[in-house]
Amino acid sequence: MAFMQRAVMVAVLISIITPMIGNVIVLKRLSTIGDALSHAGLAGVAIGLCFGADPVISAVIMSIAAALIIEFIRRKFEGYAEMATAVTLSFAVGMTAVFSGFVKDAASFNSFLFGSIVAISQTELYVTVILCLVVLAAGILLYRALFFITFDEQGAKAAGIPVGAVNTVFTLMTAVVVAVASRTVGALLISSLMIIPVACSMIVSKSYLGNLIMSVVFALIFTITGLIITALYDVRPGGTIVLTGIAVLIALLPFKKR
Amino acid sequence: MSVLTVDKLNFSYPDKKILNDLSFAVDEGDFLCVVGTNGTGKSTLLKLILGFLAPDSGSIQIEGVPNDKFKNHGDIAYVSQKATAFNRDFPATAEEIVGLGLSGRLSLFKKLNAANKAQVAEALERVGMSGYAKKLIGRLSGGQQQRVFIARALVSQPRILFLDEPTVGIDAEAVDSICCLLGELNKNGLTIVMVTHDISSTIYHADKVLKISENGCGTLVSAHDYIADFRFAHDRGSEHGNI
Repeated sequence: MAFMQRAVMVAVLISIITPMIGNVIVLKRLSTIGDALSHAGLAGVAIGLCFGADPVISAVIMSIAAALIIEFIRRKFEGYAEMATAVTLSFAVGMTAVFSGFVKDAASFNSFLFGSIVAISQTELYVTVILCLVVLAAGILLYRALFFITFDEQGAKAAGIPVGAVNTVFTLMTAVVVAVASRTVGALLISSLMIIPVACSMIVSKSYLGNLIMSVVFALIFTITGLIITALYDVRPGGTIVLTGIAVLIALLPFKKR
Repeated sequence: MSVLTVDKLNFSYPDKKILNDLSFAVDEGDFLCVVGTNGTGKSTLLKLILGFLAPDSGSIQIEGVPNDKFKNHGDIAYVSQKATAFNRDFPATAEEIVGLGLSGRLSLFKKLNAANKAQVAEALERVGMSGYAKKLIGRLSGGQQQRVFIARALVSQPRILFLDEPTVGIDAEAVDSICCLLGELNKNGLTIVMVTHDISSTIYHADKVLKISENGCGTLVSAHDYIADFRFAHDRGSEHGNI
């Protein structure tokens, strides 16, 4: 498959699953979780490159480990969820700082910092497609449970929804999405792709489902536009995608009702 | 027949004893108001009944089943004190919120079908909110939001409705209208257990009142006796109760 076809396929998949996760994260006011997990993914990349392992797989493993740490700390300090993400972010930055010093191929490591969608290999494509489909299926199956927990966690508990289990599955989904999308958009920018499409859709949508669909539409617009600009002007895709999103958000802000 | 039985319930937070050997029973069709001053454990009692907290000792049975083993989640519904504390920008419509209430009757992964959607429309109609189905929840008034949350609770056709301070933060007119709605639902057979610090609007719809005192003990009286007790105290010129 030609590199541009691979890039478009991965971009479309990432654009569907990233806002799906972002929707819950934003509405639960946990926007910083994306940063913590993406930095953990970066630490995974550094570890993978140090030991000659596939960096995408090591990023997935590290992000999942970080997600479990966040869940563990969050349950210990209920009501202080932000502290769990802050602690995990610090841990991830520390790990990245230590292991990146041993990475011989600096260019490869840098490509994960700011993304390199056009350089995705066939193997990475397969890994990305499988993980994206798994997350998409989980997101569709858990739609109502995630919606209820996001809106009213106690009400969801009283209705018999296994809130702890669903939260854990969701955190794992987030970890996988962050690790996979880091390759595309870049670890330093992935949380922006989770948040900005949702922020845009909250301005125009009139329902929860509508918000979810519109955030996917916005993410697709940002990503495809970013890729076109990347192909035309030979600039980094991650930054271009995020800046496209920011431009659209700024254009929409005047229409936001208070 | 008792649908809720609480027996010798004890609960403490690390620094304070909250409930002290509390026992009472709620029969099918009862409207029970739980009253007490701030910090006496009214909301804690609901959290214990619903299994959000574990008691130090004692037992709670819902429909004859220990609450930690209770699985008929569709038979109970809960309107929490924080139900209206969501972010005003939360992008969900009234009908979407009511649809969530069917979770207790559906399996985790099941989507709402046409019959479920009809149930949602009926629940909104029951609380007089059918004209607001497509409105964003954050754009409704406090009283309207509370009606939507009651519709969410009713949509699964529960046998027992638990409410935690449902009239907090809404205007007096809306309080009266919600209390009348609850009274009407109770007349139609719904068992209601409601925690409230302001019993004045509710007392004339209730059957029983559970008074929790500062030491965590409870006294169950009929609403009739509670009103008579208040009037007696009022005639003697003392400040007693808040109706």
